[in-house]
Amino acid sequence: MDTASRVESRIKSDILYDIIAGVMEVPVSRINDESSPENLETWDSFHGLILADELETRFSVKFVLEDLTSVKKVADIKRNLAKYDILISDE
Amino acid sequence: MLTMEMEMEMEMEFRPRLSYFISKAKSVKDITFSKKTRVAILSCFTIYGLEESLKVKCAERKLGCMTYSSPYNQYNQDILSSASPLYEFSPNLTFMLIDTRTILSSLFYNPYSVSVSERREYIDNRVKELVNLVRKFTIKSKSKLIVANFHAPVYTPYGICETKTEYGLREMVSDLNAKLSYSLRNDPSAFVFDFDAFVAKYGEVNVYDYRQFLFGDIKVSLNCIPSLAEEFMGYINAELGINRKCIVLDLDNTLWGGIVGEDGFEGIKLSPQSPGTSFVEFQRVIQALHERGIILAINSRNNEDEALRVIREHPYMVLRENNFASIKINWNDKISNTKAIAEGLNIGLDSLVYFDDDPVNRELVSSALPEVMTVDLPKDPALYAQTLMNLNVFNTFSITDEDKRRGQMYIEERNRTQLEKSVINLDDFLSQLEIKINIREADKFTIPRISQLVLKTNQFNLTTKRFQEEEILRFSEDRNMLVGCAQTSDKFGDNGITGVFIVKKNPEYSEWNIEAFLLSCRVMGRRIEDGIMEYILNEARKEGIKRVKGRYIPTSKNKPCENFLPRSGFKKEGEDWILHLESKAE
Repeated sequence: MDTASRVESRIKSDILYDIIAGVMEVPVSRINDESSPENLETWDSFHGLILADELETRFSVKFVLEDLTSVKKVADIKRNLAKYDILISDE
Repeated sequence: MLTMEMEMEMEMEFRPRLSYFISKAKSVKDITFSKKTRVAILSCFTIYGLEESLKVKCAERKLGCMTYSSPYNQYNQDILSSASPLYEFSPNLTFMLIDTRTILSSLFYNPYSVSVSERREYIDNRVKELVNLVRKFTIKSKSKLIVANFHAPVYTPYGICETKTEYGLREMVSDLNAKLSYSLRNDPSAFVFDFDAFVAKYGEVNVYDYRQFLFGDIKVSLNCIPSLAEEFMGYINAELGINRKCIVLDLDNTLWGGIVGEDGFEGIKLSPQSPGTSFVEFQRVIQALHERGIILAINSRNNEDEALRVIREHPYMVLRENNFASIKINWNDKISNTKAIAEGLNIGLDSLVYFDDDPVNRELVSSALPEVMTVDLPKDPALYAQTLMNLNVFNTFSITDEDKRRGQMYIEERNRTQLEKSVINLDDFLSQLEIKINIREADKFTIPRISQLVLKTNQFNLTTKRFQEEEILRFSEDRNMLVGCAQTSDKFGDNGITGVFIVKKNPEYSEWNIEAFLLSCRVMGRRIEDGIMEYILNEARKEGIKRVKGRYIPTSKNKPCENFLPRSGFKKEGEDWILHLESKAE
């Protein structure tokens, strides 16, 4: 990618957590970087895809297949979004 | 100003995404809905979210929908084993989706690895297998089976030489589709869903998301699932006998551009040149629907003379006065006109689709008469025709000759109403109509229409029992059943088949039971029901039957036939109405 055209967006974690909680239909208090299919019963592969679709729309990004398969917990989503210059942080 | 593309894009954007249906489905409680159906989905690939989308779309239309999906790629086992969960679920409608990749197997990638004759043989064998599978299912289940046909992929390894190649990839798929349709054409329980047309409508690039396919064998992308569900709603509505019958049209800026009262006869936009083309196109699409049996009506605030002059004399009007079964051009409000149209045509408000360019009028009608389907017309008239074509609300499982003649029948009805106004006494009116009733026993020509009436008649319907076409066919072959219909005509024309009766014979008790007795709203109030009842009673007498039993099961709509049984001499005994034939013997 041409580095000159890169525009970074900084997004607060809460916004990401809200989206995830919405898709997984759990209270947002249950979402943190360690949330995963292991500890959220609604997070199956279908809801994982719905979440990816939601994130693509909200942040105008297009994940590659490997992004979809590499997500094991919320922290991985942050790492993937960072590849597309969507930086999730609480600073 | 919005360009057409922008407006279309915005409409795409506003279409709820799958996530909306997934979360909404959890709160759907369909126990409160009176109309319910059971839908099974059989598929050879992952089809996430279709059940949820169907449930939500049904709930939005106040319909209950129970669903069942066969486990991943288990459709064959589900169909072949009589003890499968599919048959236990006992669906009313079953959708079967197999994709092109699966059916063609390795030939999907390189069809030219085998000879032309082998390709032809391959397709013929697949058709046979599919049709066999369909037959296995329809023998075991009362459900209608809707089989998706196959999408002919845009890419072929032969590229621009594809169309020069005999029986190439795309031709193979087209042939498969044609043979599938042909094989199932006369089967009343099996239908082909044109999945290939669905892909054409939404675009191959949108329907297939390679990431989703390679991630989880998803062959209809998640974003297209709600649209697929919407297409399936056409079948669900037809199954439940719900369909819109009448298009109610505003005139100014709807059927033509501009306002006739201001712009004048010559000033309105309606011509083979743009922008008049938008309205000509819209009218052509309406006309084709009219010819398949959709009733048309006008609801316009206008000076009647001016507006009628356009309809009668404008060289580019496609729809003319005799296409409209009801014309309300006046200064009354749109709500009372809409109600008057429904009353005049003797159809429910829930049969109407209302087109008006004015959002205020639309809001007025939709809030006062929520049963009416008020279409959100786009601002650009160029999109009117497309908007109408995208409504999936006029479906029935068959289109009968009566349907095609319906427009003409309503014109004849307008003439009858004029006679009624000039004749004060009902008996005089009826005798002047010179009504003829021809009772016919059900056969393969009349059964499609009989079934249509049984599924959709609400008002003059004693029991409102809904039997599917296959059941009626079975009844008609049963010696202990009498299934018949009444074809009526009068001096203004042929009304077609407008009455149906289904009688269960119990000779061992010397008794007949009227299981169904119904009359199209089109001929209510003409005592045709008396003629049909007389026929049934005579037939019973011929067989030496002592009692004919009937039942009136009240619904919110069938009050018009409440008094029919007592009026015909039946006496209430418990839940039943009984007529003792000995007492009437002469």
